[in-house]
Amino acid sequence: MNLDARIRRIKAFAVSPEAERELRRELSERLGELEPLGAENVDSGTSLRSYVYTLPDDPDEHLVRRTVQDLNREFSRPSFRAHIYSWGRHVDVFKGVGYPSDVYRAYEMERRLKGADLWVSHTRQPTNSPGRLPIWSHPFSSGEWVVVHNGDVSSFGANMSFLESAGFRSFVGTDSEVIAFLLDHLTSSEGLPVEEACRVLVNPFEDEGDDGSFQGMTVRFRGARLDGPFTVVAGHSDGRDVYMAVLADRFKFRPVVVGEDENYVYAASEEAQIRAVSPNARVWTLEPGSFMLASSSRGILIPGRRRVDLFVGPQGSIARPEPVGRVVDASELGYQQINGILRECVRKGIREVSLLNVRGQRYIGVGVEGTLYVRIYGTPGNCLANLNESIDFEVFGSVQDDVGDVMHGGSVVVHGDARDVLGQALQGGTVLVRGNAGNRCGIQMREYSEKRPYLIVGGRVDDYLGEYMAGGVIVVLGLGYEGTDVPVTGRFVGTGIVGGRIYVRGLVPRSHIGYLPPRRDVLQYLRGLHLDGELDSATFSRLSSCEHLDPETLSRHLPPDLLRRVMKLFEHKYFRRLLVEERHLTDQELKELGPVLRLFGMKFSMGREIERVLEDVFTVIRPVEAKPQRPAVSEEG
Amino acid sequence: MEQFPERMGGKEAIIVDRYLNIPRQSSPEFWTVNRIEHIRKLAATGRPAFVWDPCKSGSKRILDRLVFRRELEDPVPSAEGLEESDGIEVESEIAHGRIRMAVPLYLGDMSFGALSGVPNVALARAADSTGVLCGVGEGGVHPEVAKCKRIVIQWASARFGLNLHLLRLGEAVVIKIGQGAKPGIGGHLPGTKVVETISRTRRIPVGTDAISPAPHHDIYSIEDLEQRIWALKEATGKPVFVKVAATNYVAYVAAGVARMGADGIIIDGQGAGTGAAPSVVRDNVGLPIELAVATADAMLRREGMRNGFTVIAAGRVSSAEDMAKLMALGADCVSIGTAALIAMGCVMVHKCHLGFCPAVITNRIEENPKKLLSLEFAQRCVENLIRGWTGELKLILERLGLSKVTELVGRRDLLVGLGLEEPTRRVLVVEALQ
Amino acid sequence: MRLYSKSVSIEGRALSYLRQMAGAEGRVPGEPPIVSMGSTAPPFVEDPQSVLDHIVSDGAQVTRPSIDPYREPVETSIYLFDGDVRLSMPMGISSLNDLPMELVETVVRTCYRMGVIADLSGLGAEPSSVAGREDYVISGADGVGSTAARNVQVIITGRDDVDPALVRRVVSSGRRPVARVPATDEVELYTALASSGFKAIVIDEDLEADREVELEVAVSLCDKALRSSGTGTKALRYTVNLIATSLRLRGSGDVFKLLGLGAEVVLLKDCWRLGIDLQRESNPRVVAERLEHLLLGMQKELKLLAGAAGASSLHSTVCGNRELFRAVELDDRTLSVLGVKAAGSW
Repeated sequence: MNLDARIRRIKAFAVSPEAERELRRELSERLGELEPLGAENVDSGTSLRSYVYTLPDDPDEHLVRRTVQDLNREFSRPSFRAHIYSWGRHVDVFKGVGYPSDVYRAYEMERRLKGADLWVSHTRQPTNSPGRLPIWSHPFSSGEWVVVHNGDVSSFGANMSFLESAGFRSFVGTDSEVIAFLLDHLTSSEGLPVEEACRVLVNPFEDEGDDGSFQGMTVRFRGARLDGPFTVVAGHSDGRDVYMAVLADRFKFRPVVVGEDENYVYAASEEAQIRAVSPNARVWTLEPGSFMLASSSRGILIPGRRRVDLFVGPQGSIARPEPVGRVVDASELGYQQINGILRECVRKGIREVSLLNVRGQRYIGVGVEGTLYVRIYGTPGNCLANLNESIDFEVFGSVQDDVGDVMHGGSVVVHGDARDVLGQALQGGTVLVRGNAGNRCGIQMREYSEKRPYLIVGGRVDDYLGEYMAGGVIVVLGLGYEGTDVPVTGRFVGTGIVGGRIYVRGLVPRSHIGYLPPRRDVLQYLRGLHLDGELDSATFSRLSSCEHLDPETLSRHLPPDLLRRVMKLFEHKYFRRLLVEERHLTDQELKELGPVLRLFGMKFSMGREIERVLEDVFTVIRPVEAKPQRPAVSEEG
Repeated sequence: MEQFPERMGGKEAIIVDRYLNIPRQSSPEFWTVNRIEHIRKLAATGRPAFVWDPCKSGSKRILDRLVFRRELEDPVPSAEGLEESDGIEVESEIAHGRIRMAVPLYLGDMSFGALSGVPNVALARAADSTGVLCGVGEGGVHPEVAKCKRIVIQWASARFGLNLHLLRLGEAVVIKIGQGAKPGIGGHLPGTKVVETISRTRRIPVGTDAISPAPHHDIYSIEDLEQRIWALKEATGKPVFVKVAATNYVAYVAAGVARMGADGIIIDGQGAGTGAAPSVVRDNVGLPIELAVATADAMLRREGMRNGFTVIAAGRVSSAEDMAKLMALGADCVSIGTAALIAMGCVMVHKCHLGFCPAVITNRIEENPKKLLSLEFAQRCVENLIRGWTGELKLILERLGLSKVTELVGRRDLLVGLGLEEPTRRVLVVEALQ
Repeated sequence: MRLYSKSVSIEGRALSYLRQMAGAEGRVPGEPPIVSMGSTAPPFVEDPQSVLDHIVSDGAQVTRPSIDPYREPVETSIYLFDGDVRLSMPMGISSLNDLPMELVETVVRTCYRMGVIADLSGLGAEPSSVAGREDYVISGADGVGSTAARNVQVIITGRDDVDPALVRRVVSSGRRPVARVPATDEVELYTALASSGFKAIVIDEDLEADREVELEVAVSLCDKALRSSGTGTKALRYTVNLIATSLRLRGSGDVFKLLGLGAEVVLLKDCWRLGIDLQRESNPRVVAERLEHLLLGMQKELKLLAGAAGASSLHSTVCGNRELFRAVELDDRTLSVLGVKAAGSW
């Protein structure tokens, strides 16, 4: 994106010089005089060539949009001849098939690097499109928008229909293109400001906030709401400023991190990528169903988190002690070489290894057995310590997704943050994270026989903490959040939990615990009971002003027969009542948790502070003990 | 009677070693009495019963409305009196040549929990003795199954019982993403069923609900799947398969799975068996396997991803002819589940989820069961099924003029459609009978 | 024009599933029935009874995850009439005309509590319980003036019946005109209704018309016609609600597929009556309890289907999203009117 570019450029792929001539003729007939700038890329890995034209007279934007749609349709049938893939003033798009370095070479990018306000790039695996031609390559552009997207939206068909109603008639068939069209349509034709358009697309849950006006808008714009997994990075210019928008879906199914340093704002799938460019940037991840918005003149406008200052982990202050034991520079090593070195150390009886300059290598420690203390300097990639049985890892930096999956023993100590799905099916050993952690931490944790896992997060976590948990202990300390109004957990804490315990320092809003039916459904039922004459006005109005309509609140206010009736909305055959207590740790708990929390304090140099933490009030969440039941229906296999 | 080394039942348990009478079927059923009787015949004799499967007559299934042109020319009613075909090679290699199969059959992914123990062991031992493969399903591995060689360990969303040792036990690892009977739906074994033996294999305390989440929460995209494929390869060094349900995008999913480095895909079609599923999902979600295999094979070829990559077709595979037709549509191997259960005595009363299986195959696992399936009987029946099935396959190959089973893969030209809608035939790439 | 006959009797498995959910059978009311071993569903085992039987829904996997509706949100709410009325689920209860008034009152009250529509179509007298629940009732009487319900039904069987003056009268009385039309392929009727000010169109397959088509075909045609009138959020499709109903609908599988073809609400007729076993049960308390359980069970089934397809919102993600569906063994012409792709095609 380039704010200073003022001339509209049309870029198109054509299968042959004849097709290009025909396209050029049609364009000039419909849009006026055209200045061809010739073929652009030398080789984009396919038989297509890209051509560039400028439009000196600059016709009306809506006319250009319609013409592009019409021509793309006409030139795609009966067989594909040409496709216009960008037509903005401030947008310049380069698409190709092959590795990023191939595309970079084909477009001779090194001579273009200067002068842009925003760069967006993406390499993708085609999921639901063939991907053989560059028309399916990212980025996708419409008007002054450019979009790259990781995901596969399930609302695709509904979004397509909406766009068809809006006059879009040519699609290459990917959801990523649809996202570009939606953003362009909402901002240019429906007149929404950029942030409102982003909010429609990220599609917040109905129960989020009580902003009635936005609810009305999501109904009106329901065809533009996105569902299913997506991380979108979009660039836009309104002619006065250049915007960068980063969107995360409501479940945060795809990874995304954003970062900031003195000069730039970054967005990427993995922290290691940002660190490669800016080793000391502040990096954070988006909350589910949120978006980050930044502009080139005003910096970050919406951080995509409630309190980004607090959520950023302590990277800046991470101590980097001297490497110990065998010292390995990992900067040029692949994961197989790293794991080979770890195995060799075990074989030779070397007890300590320090891996320097780790930059996103995945699977570190996977399949390595034996005893070893591994210090990692840098940012290890996804799937660190999966299936770990006895290795100890200490990371002086942040870790990414899927750390400690099916870990049976050993330990992982992280001085920075952890991202999503930390400690899935963790069933032994200890995971300590000084900073924050992302979505779905400690899901499916379990214990068996003598093995009980411990997962301690120093900062805050996002949604679905301990989902499906069946054993083990999770502790969230909320260090640094004391005295703020930011809850230290996201929503759906302990949903589907059947065993184990979750300790959250401080108080957790009841609406964040478990999965409750929509508040509006419960209110509707209560209003009905009131109209039926079964629920008195005073109780009804008291309940309707309650912030949380959870089983505990209802049981405090409703007589047993009405409670039984309303509870139909909550209960199902898998429903387990959660026991939620707000209290100090018992002596027995202090005896159990004291050692692991003191280890946490020691690893992260907390000194006496950890003792004060142990004396604080915790919210303790666990399932009510299962009553022996009659043989139930099996639902497996 | 062979002794079961792991105590599975009280000494006084009644040992079941014969078939129940097949109950009258009062409503339409895919597994008709004819189909059950055919399987029982193979399981009893280990010899082919038919050349061309007569049970397809009258069936509305698409696969049953596809026939080999050869059958129309040479409709042999029965295999009786026919010589076993000589010189027909049914061996094959799958997973980029890393696994040899005596015949490309895979005994499909039924867990210890869905089945009650003895059937799990019978299937695994039959796989060992006949040289096919047995997928062990989710939920850890029965200790007797763990002693078998030709097993495939499942990495499912709940990771029950998994560790490095177990993952390295079998011939391969399969990442189970979905199953044909309930695409997109998870599993739930109530705590009351998590008895001591289940607790040990799943590594969860007795009485704890065992939940398998609907998706893998580390696999939300094709790139995530790639990550898990390579993590498992790094951990085990074994070939990795991915099992999916046949759904709208199965062709793209297959191409993606191949491109991400998996060694094969198991595609499970609509109508496949299940221990328990919500009826609304079982009856409304997913594609039939014949369409799924045809479209996946075509996409894999177009993308240049077909060579060495293995396509295993599952879901309602009821006979050697089904197998042959699915291979002609593009499968390298087929998976059988229900057919193997029928060989062990299943009478299709659809009561697995209630835990009262009259044939003691899917009954509730108890410390001291009153009835127990005979392991020897069950294993022998499955072995015979595989032998008889192989015999029928050879007879079919012989009549098709093929000397190797691998030559059959993708030979859609051998098939012809009977009264199929045009869009269906376009997907199958099969001509209509003129 | 029809591929299948209109008359379908709800029996066998379909009936048993409804009864189990309502609590008239089995021991787990309000829950989707669980079954085992292979399906016997149409069109490959049982005889198909409708075009819907040829439509299958998607299971999300690999490229997108499915959603577990028991532990994670799958929104079933539907906003009608420009967002004025929120339904908890995309359903309504119809076929009340021959019930004793006492039971009609029960149904209206139960529908309100459950946040679904009560359709009083064909009912002579209006029950007193409509008062206070006006938004959740479609009037029985045809036309304006005789009803307390805010949603006033006008039966229209052809384009000649469209009376803009009547529509204006309803609107000026502060109520919402709702057109009830037969299932027809006369798409001009649908656009004429929408552009003359009707706030919702109920396509009722049990009304007679000259150019009758299957409900699923009519819904799809109507959805497409409303999309192509007006632009973007101003398209009639985003301002007029589409409601479908027929005696032959058997349960949430049918409801879900009709949503995919463009309906926003499906009114249940015979299936709810059979499910709660109205023939043998007339105690209002039991009827209310069973109806609640049936609706909750069907809501869970809709969530399972949506969640399986990776959709977390029925209204924005499923309604009119034909891409979530595929058709098996339908001819090209039917595929094209439905706008659904053949299973296995790219």
